[in-house]
Amino acid sequence: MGRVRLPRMAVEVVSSLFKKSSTRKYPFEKPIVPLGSRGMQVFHSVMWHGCGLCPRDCPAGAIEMVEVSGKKMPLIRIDSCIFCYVCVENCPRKALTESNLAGHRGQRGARHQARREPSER
Amino acid sequence: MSAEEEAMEAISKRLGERAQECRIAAPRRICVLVRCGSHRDAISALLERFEFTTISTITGVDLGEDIELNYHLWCGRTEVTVKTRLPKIRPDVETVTDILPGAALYEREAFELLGVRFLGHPGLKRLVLPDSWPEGQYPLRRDWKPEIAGLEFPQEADSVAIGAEGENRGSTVNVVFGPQHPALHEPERFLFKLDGEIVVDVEPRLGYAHRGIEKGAEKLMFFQATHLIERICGICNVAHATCFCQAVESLGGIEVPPRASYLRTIVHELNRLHSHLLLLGVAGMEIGFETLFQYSWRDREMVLDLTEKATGNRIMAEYNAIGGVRRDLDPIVGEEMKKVLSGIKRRAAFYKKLLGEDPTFGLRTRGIGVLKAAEALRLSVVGPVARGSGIKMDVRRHDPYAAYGEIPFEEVAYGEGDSWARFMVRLDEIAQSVDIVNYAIEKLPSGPYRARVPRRVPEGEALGRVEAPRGELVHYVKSDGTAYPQRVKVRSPTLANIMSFREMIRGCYVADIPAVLASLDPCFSCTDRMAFLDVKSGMKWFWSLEEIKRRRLGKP
Repeated sequence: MGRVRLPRMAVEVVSSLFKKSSTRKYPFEKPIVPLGSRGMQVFHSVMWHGCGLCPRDCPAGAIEMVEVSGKKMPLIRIDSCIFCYVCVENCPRKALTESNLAGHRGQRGARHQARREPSER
Repeated sequence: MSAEEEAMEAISKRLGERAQECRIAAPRRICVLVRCGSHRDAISALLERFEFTTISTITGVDLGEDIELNYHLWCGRTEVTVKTRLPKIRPDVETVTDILPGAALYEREAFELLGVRFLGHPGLKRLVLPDSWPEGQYPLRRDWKPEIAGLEFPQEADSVAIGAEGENRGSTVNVVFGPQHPALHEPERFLFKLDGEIVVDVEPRLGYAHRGIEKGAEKLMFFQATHLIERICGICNVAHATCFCQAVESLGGIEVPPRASYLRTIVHELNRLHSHLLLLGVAGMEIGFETLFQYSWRDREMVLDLTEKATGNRIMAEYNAIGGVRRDLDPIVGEEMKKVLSGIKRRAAFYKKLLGEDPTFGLRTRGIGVLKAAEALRLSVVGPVARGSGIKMDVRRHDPYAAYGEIPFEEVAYGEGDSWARFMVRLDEIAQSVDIVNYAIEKLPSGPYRARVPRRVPEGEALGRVEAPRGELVHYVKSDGTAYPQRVKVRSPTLANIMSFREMIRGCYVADIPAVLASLDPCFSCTDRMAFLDVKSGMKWFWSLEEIKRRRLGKP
């Protein structure tokens, strides 16, 4: 391996020494999610008029209609959801919209996070 | 005379009256219906006329009274589909393995999933279904239902079927590798016949990663099936989705906007980049060159980040839709892509220099696992395996799809046919993919990126071909005029390549097995997708969000 020049190797080693570590302690640290990433869907009950298209279109069968205060509303099972966003695309009234909300820790203040620019990286 | 007419003439000259219907279905696609029993003549006519005739796959379709067999053959410039129909009560047909040995696995697949008996096939055994699957149950027949089959899982297979069979003759010893294979992180089983340290023969057994995707796709609407098809494989998911969408688009006569076809090309090449970098790392790992593994997986991470920024997901891109793509490319992301990829191209050049000169890598790969060009053609191998043996076979070049017809690039080919050549093909393709992405970003046409398409797809059948990272990928889609597909057939590149592993490994040492297998870049989850297994469990449970959170944090 004598052919790999030493200065180049040294530069890489030294620069790596002072860099932040590439791994993050996931559950304790907030993940950095790119802006366009497909995360949990946001449901706007104001727009909802109960057409029932999303449970029929969902390829994973992750959406179920449940009764909430007398009205049928969609319940998205996040564990079955494949985040394909067919429901978001096909919703005629835009009652489901996209967000880049990943993990469950960042659940609070979801909508603010969805619009924020991803920091560093 | 065009290539299509030439192929049609070759068949009709030989068959005469027996060729019942001959038509050009689409550009570079011919469909010939021959009388029952004449398919061998038709195929041998094509083999004689065109030097580079390979078989893509055999698709069996249950038509109710009859079973239709479609032999898809690639004849250098056209894809010829030779159709023949057999009565369902007695589905016997002559084999084509003697004239086209590459068809052996496809015949076994049709045998076990549709019950077609190929007379004269040397080893008509199970390929993908479990060993304990009851006789006479053919899951891809339309009248088959899990309820009438009365299956119970899990069933136990007898030990003879697992590989204990075969008397140990002389000094030859049978050794079973797998299903938990130490080399690849996917379940498959190999029965090696060893003479001391030397491999005499090998028999692969697939089918441990069955999910029933072909059968499952029949229950979903076309646009839903795209998302299921994408999940055939985690690595080449874009290739699968592109292929399926193209097949449905050609069925419905849907014109894809030019911007969409360029965007498809970009994401498809990103997919290829990350697949090749992954394989390079795996290869380094198998050979004991773990630094290479760390390096190339670091580079792969950058490609995955780009994929996430462009498509929204890191692995399952969910980018293709019938009629175009689902997202536009942000010019800022495009610029970043160019910057990051130029770094990867530099690194690929460095790796190439390194692997070309490194004596250890050379000793482990040069002259080992040789597949000669004639043998490669006979077994109809595809992709980098074929190109490593000197066969210029690249769907992007010879059967252009998406924007590949407008992008200049040269196909990579090495003549050595050993493991080293196959790795070099992939390294060169990394640099080439970077060039393709750069060109596509620069020449990205403006306009819409998605066409609106109806849910119903007109009656008919179509074949999609795509150059996946591992080789030619074929999707056959048949529609009966509703929103649901009647039949979806997937031929993944690994199924075409796995036969050649036997030729490569004969005469090699046991220690070379992982390296040679890695040079094939097998993907078993692509290959195992046909049967329908999880029928009886019926178990369904949900975890609330709170519960998942609790479990994740390790609290009971």
